[in-house]
Amino acid sequence: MGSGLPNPVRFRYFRDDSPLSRVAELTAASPDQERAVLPRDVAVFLPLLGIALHKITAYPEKHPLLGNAIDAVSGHLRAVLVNRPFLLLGIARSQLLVEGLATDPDNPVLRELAQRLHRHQIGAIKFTPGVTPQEVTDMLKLLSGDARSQPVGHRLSELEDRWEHVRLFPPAYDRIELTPDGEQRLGEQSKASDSSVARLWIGLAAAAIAKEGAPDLHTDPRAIARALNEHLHDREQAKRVVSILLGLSRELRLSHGGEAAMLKERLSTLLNHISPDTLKELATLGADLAQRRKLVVDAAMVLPAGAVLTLLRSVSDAGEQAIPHAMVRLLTKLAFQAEKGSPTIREEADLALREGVRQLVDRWTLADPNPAPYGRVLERLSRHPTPGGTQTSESQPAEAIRLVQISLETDTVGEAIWSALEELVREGRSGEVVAMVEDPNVADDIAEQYWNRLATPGNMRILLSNEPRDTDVVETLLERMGMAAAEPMLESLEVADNRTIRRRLLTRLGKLGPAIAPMLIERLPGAPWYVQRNLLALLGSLPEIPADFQVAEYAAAEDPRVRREAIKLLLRLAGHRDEAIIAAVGDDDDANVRLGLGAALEGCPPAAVGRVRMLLNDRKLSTELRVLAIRVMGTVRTAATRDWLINQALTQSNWFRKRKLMPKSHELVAVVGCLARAFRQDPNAQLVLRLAWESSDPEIRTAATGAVEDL
Amino acid sequence: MSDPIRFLTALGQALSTTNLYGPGHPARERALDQAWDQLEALQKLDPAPSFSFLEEEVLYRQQALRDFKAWDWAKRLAKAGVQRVEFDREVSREDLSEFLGEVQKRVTSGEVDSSEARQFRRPAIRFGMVSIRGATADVAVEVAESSSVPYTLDDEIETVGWIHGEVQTTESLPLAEANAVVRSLSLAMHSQSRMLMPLLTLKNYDQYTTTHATNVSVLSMALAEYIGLGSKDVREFGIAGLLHDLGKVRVPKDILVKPGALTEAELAALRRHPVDGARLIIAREQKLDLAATVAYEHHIMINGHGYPRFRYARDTHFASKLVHVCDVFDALCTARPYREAWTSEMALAYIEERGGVDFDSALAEGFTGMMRLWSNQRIIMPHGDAPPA
Repeated sequence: MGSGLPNPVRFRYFRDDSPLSRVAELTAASPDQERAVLPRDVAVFLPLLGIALHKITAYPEKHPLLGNAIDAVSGHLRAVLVNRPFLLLGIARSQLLVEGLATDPDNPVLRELAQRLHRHQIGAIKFTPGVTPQEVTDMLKLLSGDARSQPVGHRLSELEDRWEHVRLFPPAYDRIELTPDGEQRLGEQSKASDSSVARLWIGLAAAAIAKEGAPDLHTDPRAIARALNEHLHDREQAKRVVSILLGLSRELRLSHGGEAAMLKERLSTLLNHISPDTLKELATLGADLAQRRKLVVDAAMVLPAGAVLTLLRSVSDAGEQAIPHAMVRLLTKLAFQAEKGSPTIREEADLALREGVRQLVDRWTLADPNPAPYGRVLERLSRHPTPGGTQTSESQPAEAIRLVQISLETDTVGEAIWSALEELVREGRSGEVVAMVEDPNVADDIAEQYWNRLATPGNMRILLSNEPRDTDVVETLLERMGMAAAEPMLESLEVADNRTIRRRLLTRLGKLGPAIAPMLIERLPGAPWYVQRNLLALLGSLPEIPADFQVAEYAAAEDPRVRREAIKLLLRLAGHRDEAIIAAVGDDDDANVRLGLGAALEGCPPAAVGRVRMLLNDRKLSTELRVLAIRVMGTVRTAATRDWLINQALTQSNWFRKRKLMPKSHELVAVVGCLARAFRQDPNAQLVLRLAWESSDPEIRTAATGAVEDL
Repeated sequence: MSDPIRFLTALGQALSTTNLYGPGHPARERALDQAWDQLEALQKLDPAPSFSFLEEEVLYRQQALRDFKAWDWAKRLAKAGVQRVEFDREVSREDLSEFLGEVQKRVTSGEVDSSEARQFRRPAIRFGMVSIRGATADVAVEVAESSSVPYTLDDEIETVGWIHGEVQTTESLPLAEANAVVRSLSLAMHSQSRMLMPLLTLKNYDQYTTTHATNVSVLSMALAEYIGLGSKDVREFGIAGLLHDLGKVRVPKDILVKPGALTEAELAALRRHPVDGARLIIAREQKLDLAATVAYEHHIMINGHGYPRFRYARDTHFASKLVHVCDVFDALCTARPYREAWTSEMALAYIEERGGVDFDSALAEGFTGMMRLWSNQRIIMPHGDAPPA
């Protein structure tokens, strides 16, 4: 080893009687097997750091020994960080924690280093690539001060931005530490993922030796693998291990940066050290199909190619999801190329392997969580070339219409076809499909499947919202849909702003018959006035109206158009006619009044007579309505009415002039007509009738015959 | 008139009659009888006669028939790819009838149908293109000796065979395996600094389906890449090439490997494979709409000939046109007992000639341009003992 470093001494980091070393012994496959140790580069670095800290305390600033020590620790730290996104040293009372392993508290250099840092109330030190000798020197100088009087941990907030590549953390909440008795456990950390990952590793270690909660654990992946290889013996244990592996793979997916890199390496090491038989046993005993699938899918996303393949093989064997031998060889070839192929194809091979594994696993899949139609849409959308992409204009998937054509020509359907069909419907091209499906050469069963897919409320919604609307297609599908078309048509009616469209929709909806009434009534409350008006009009077009429909509230609606449709309905409902006429003639809208008066012509309810009279007293009432009101009055054969009519027909008498007919008007003609029809034999009416007969105006004379005058 | 000329005259009349009348028609049978009589007469003098047709020149053995220059059929046969005919001494009237039927198809349609790249038994009448002995070694073979690829394609071939087996026996289409094959082929193509085209030679007709599928996949990916498509599209075209003949798993094997000419019914069964291929893919796999399209359309010529017939008029998909070129090229370069495999150059010349007729002009031009540009990047791969497909 160069750079003035000491000879590669085999440091012992576990004391022989520590719980960790007992685990190591417990899980050792053979006496000569490797003891779980810190990574070699870290193992060399830590004592150098301890030595440098010792020297900076003991020697003056320019002392050559100090310079050498700083150079050594800085140089080696750079080497340690070549393949790591960071190096994190956890600090306990007399031990350091690195990558899940604790140093031997009996090692004097490391113990002193840990104790000094602990006294300074430092919880952890993090080094990142790019660290400079100056930063290391500066940090060491700081730590060489008196920990009792000036603990560095009290000034960490000031130090936060002091170094770019070195960071000191306080001992609370963002570090791991050993409990006083040396048990390695998770300290509370600021990063939840770190916390859960560490917990999972410890859990895995416990599960591996089937001693959950056992204190004597360490989390070296090779040791865990060995333990599993030797001690996996029952279903419960296997389940626990698989569950933890799933948790770790989930953490791996969620993590990023340095944590991800470290976890990936550890998981990969673990998988590579678990024997194929053990892996298969784990998959067989400990996982159901969904878990097996998830495990492989997660692994395929993140683990190195070799580990992915190892896992796939075992899981596949366990679940009897046969993979042809040739395919396994093919994947092996891809894995080899991914890891050891020429640089030009490594990435492609890696992608190919992962995609291949994922697709194989997809075949074991349970039901797709996405609803099929949504999934299909996503699928097709995801495959469409994006504008401005690198694909040439020639590059495109088979067009949707082509797929439908092929389907109809080959009498075949499938998800790809339905996906294409949905695309065509969305694009407003249903007409093309309908025309093709109507071809008599299309097999009946295939055509039926197409109709079932086309004649749906969803498609009808799209068709009705397309502009311009393909009326023929809509009609064709409506015929096949029957009542199923009601909802989309009603929705369309609600938003239609074109009178022609509304009329068509109302006509089509009306054809659905009385069965549609409950749907109409249900949509009325709270709807905008124009919707209420249309729905009420539609209800009115039906041959029957549900007897329990409470229409009165709409007869009192704010909008006169809604009231009008409600009045029309009331007029049809048995027992509500009088109510309707009273409401109508009392309305402030002329059209509604006209409606009420028109109805009253067939018989005016006594309770409405007063209102009709009030109308007639209204000087602002139009001639048309006044005439109508007069005619209504003519239907009420009472003396009071008679007298009122006579008074309307004659001028006032005075002492020298006889009474005579009022000047001709529409009102006069109407009054004469009423008297002729209702009071022809009444002596009190004779004067008016005689004067009318003698009139030079043919219209008045005609009215006197009782003929109903034109309005 | 010499016996060879008498025979050729009768043969010409029989070919004309065959064009006019269907099988079994008395006029056709009479013409066949006359040609057969003349052939028998010729064989009494020359038991294994052979003829070559080089444009208007007709050779009997190595001798030019100077008096027979105006024989109209010489040019037509040559144009249809029948530049030479060799008769065995054991030839029968039935053989002659089959031969006439086969030639008639070629002359009429002028197209080579890659689906009929079948193996005849060693026939009593052999025919095809001619080449100069010793000067027609396939360039690819020469290249193969000086090139190497990192690995063989045995696993790919075996996987393709397995895929065909799965489709035949189960309801599934193993997409993962198909993708892996294409990915692996793509890797083989890009395993060196320059693009390679690893193509397989046919050892045994039983392996034709798998070998052909693999080669068409490679050629399709190469052409797609050559014309500038993105990598995702290149792979999709590779999948489409790999699965283009998938429908053949539904064609009875005895038809696929039948020696000799196919009956009308057998031909019809064979020609159902595009429909069956599309059905198999559509019914089983959502993500392969391009492959389904290509499986359905790859026998349709640019001039509308071919099969199946579209019920709804349309142009074929670009991918179908691309795979069609590659399909025919590989079929032509596949050896048959009655002729050697066409050399690459002969096949390319054919594709050039039929550009705009059978093939999309731009793609035909692109394909021939690519094959010539990358002629020294074609690798004839060793073909292991893959199981029959």
